[in-house]
Amino acid sequence: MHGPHHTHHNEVPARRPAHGGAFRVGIGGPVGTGKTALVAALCGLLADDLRIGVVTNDIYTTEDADTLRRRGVLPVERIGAVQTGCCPHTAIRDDITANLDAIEDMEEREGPLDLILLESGGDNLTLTFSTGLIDVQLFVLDVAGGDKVPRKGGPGVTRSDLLVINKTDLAPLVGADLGVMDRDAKAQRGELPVRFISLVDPSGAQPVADWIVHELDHWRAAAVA
Amino acid sequence: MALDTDDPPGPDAFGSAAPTSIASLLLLADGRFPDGSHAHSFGMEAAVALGRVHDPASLHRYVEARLWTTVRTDAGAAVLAARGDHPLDVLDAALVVRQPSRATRDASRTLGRSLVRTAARLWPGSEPRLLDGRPPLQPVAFGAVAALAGCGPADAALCTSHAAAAGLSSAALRLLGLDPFEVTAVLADLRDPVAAVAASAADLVDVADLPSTSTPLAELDAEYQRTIEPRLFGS
Repeated sequence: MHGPHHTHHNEVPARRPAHGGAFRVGIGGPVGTGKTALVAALCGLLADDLRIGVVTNDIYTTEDADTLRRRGVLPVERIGAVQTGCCPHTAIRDDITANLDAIEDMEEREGPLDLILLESGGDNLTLTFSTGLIDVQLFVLDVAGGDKVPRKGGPGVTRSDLLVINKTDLAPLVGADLGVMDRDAKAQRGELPVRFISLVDPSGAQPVADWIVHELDHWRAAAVA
Repeated sequence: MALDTDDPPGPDAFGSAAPTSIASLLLLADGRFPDGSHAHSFGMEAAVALGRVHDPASLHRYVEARLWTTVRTDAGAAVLAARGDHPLDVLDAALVVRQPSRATRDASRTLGRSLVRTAARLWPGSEPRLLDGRPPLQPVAFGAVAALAGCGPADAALCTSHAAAAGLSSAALRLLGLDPFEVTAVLADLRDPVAAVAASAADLVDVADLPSTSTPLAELDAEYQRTIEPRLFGS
């Protein structure tokens, strides 16, 4: 019944009710698809207008923090990290307490923030964030992982609020057909959006930054109403 | 989704323990209960890194040693908290002085915070906190949560010793890639000490009688764990 070309099961999960804290964006996806690079690029594009915090669940947290510090896009006090005990998935879905603690601590220490980017540890196609933890979630794939990945589906591909397909610059080098990825992603996701990006230049994250700002505005308007 | 535990338990079909109490115990003992513990190895990551634990036999020895030392103290604190006869601050202070390792206390406080967070959703307004608003150490918070759930002191002790054995073993399985059947066999073999440790703590009444059993290696491992980079567990 639920073959890859049926789109009737793409209901977006119920969202967290409006709340006083920062807008929380979950960023998930398999290992090596460019989640940390995307976070760094988004900070560079958005930090002038928004007070941003980052919570990373990656095991190489020091390295990620160093990358962000080196680029000077974010004060290092606004980069938090949690350990996930070999189960990155559990920490963002089944037992979100450590991430909630990290967010709470950062908001208490740094004052009100506009946006929190919560990066999951690299996982697989079944990764999905609890709506008790985030407001919207991105799922990041890359072209180098093979152009058949969107067709394989899984909650990240079918239900994430935004599917990001990264490293489009590599498509000719790895023989990936972006048209196939786009077609399969649309078949899996129905009306849910997809963005193709390349981060060779960090400004390549602009389509994702624009989407986040749009969602943030929408969320704020709903919170007021 | 606040839980109502005021209703009297059902027919006494389970011997001395009412079914509601058993259901409560199972809820708290389930590894899926959101208490933050999945991200902690309780020193196992260090024990593996240092070669103390490397196979099912060494896992068995390590867990049994922890049961009769650190876990027995924790179980005693959980019993006293579940009894509800002492202020949480008194119990917390008594446990603090029995844990020389700051890393151990920090991890325990973090896990206490997770329990407070969960309790605040299940029993709003009744979640256990110290007078200054901080969460208690994990065993104290757990004993209080066990009482909220309708468990008695003996249940709190059993759950503490079981969770310790299961948590340590699960961390070892993930870190070493052990055969899950062998790890389960280790846990099955450890049922007697798990029950015995719980029983040794279950009748505690006075704070002065709280055991001060510890083991230096557990404290040292907890401190060493903080230096491992990259580390996978919060403790």
